[in-house]
This record gives sequence, C-alpha cells and structure tokens, in this order.
Amino acid sequence: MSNVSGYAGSSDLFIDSSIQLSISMARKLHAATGKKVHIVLPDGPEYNRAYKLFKAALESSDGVSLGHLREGKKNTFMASLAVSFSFTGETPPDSFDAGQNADVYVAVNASTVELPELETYSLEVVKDKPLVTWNMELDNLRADLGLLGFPPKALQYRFLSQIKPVFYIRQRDYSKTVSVSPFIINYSGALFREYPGPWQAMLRQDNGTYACVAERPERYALGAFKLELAKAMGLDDEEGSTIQFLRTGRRTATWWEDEEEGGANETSRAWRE
Amino acid sequence: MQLHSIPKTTYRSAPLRRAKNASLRRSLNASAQSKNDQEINQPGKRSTYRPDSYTEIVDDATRAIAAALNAQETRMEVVRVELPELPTLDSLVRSFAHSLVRSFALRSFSRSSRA
Repeated sequence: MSNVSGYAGSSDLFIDSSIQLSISMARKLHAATGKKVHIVLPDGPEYNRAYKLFKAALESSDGVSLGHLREGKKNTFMASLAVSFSFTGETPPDSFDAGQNADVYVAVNASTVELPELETYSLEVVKDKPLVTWNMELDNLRADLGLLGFPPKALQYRFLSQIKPVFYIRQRDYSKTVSVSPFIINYSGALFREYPGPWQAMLRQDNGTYACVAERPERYALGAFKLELAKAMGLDDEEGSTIQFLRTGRRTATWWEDEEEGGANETSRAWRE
Repeated sequence: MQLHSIPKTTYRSAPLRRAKNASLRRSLNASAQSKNDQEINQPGKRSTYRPDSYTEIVDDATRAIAAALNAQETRMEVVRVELPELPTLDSLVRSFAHSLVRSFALRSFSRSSRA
C-alpha cells in the first residue's frame, strides 16, 4: 500500500492525487452550480506536467480549466519558455483567458514559498470572486512562516486569516501512559468541520466511525482538540494540576492559534470560524 | 483523575463515560452505530462521520463549497489531511511476492514436520 499523505508518502503521488481530486470536485461543482472552475497550479512547469497527465480528464470536463499562478506574467523570457516548451513537442494551451473568465478558482499544491504568489494572484486575477485552497494543508504551511527563507508571519495575518475552512478533516493519533493496566492507552480522533456546521471534535470508534464528542462555532486549537478527546475518554488531568502542566507544558497553542499573538494581529477571524 | 477507574478495555472500546453535553450524549450511542446510521446524518449536522472512499469525501467537500458559495463566501479552504492509502502496482507486486514467499515457507515447514 502506498500513502498519499503529504508528509508520509511520495510527494508526486500526493500532488497528482490532489489534482485528480480537484478536477473531480470542479466537475461536480460545475454540474451543481453552473460556474466555470479554474484550477490553479503553482507554476508553468507544473501546469505543463499536469496538463499532459490529465489532458483526457480535462477535455471531458465541461466548465473546468487548468492554469497556474504566473499565467498573467508572460513578460519574462524564462517564464514563457517554461510554459510553452515541452520535450514531447506538446504545447499546453495558454491558460490566461480561461483564468480571466472563470467564476471560481481552486488553488492546488502550492508550498509555503509560493503563498505570496497565491496572494498576488488573488488580488490581481481572482479579486472578489471565490477562491478555494484544495488540500494545501495550510496549517502545515503556516508553521513555516517567519522562518529563515520563508515568507513572514504577516502573510497569515494579512491573507491566510481570510480563508475560511469549509470542509476540514484532520486526523490525529494520541496515546497516554497510565499507572494501571493496560498502561498505554491509544486513542484517535479527527478535527472536523463541514460548512455550515460547527467545528467538531470526533473520536474514532472501533468500527472506524468518527463520533462527535464536542462541538463549538470556533475552531479548536490542536491542544484544545486533544483535551476534548481526552475528556471523552475520561483521561483528562485535573485542571491546574502539576501533572497537567507537566504533560501539556506552558504553551498549548501555536503562534497563529494563540489569541494574544495571532488573534491580536490578524485582519480577519474567518479562518477560525 | 482517578486512574484506577479506567477499565482495562478502554483502549479498545472507547467508553465515552462522561456525558457533559448534547454532542457527547449523542456520541454515547454512536459507538455501536453501523455505516447505515450515517445516512441520517445531514451535511453540516453530523453526529458521526465515516467516509469510505475518495468519491464520498469529494462529494461532501463539493456540497460544503456550494453551500459556502451560496452564503457569498469568497475565500475557502478544503482540507483532508492524511488521505487513506491507495494500492499501487508496485505495492501489488510486493504483496504478491510476500504471499509467494509465505506459502513456500509454510509448505516447507509442513513437509519437514511430517518427516
């Protein structure tokens, strides 16, 4: 078996799966709403490769087009060459017009360093139209912001904070040591949100079903989500106890989840709602 | 926390003993639910969730996006971290090789035990 998870499996498999699933979603969205959907890849070479791989699927999908974040910037020689030249002699179509005429944009496979380009694209091309980031794992990308060689944290405050999760599943596995048999207790769950529903902490059952154990209108920080699962299992430590401090540490949220640091600087709370 | 109160089967049965709120009370009954029960879960109002395929996840995600579009949302995120595993040709060849080796080993073992 192969794992197509972004970090546990092959990256080629992950990016190809994301494109394939985004085409499937775009096709269904067009059928349901009649809107033209434009799937946006990070750059020309990726567009070139994806076009060749998914040419048949794209040609059979009405209202779905493929493009890239630099499609409006063909003034540089290298950018133009990267998109139009192919060793197989096959030239993908110019995606600029499809990008201009689309109703909904779906960004796929952008990495942290490409987020500023996504922001520029959203300002210059998408404007007030809808933009969906498809399985880009923004939480993982946020973790890189502010590090050497990566965009600053301001990108979260300015741009990423505006992006509302409308369908979100984040699975986590936890274990806790106890002083009685079985000594180690394993439990799993998923942080779940399906618009317009609330954020839900779901505990995995024996039969693979995820059952809601807590819900609220605002997103759970990962630490709070873990605590909800522990409470449901009867494994939570006494509030304010030493053992609780020793297990969780002083800080229980990431900088972007933290209300004092992230909350005070962000321009929108949409990403939490 | 009362550690001695944790049953030995906690890690297998997920007891959900403390029903503090409505969601939790709903989930107390959910542990024994089958896949059929999920059909009563409406999108956005689920007490349980159990996707079986990518198609089902994509359908649910598409429905959520359409609902957000109707609500005039303009910046949206869809995340399904850690997608389920998919078989590949390489993995199928590997599993076939493993099964061959295992059957050969079993046959050798049964012959030697008979002798």
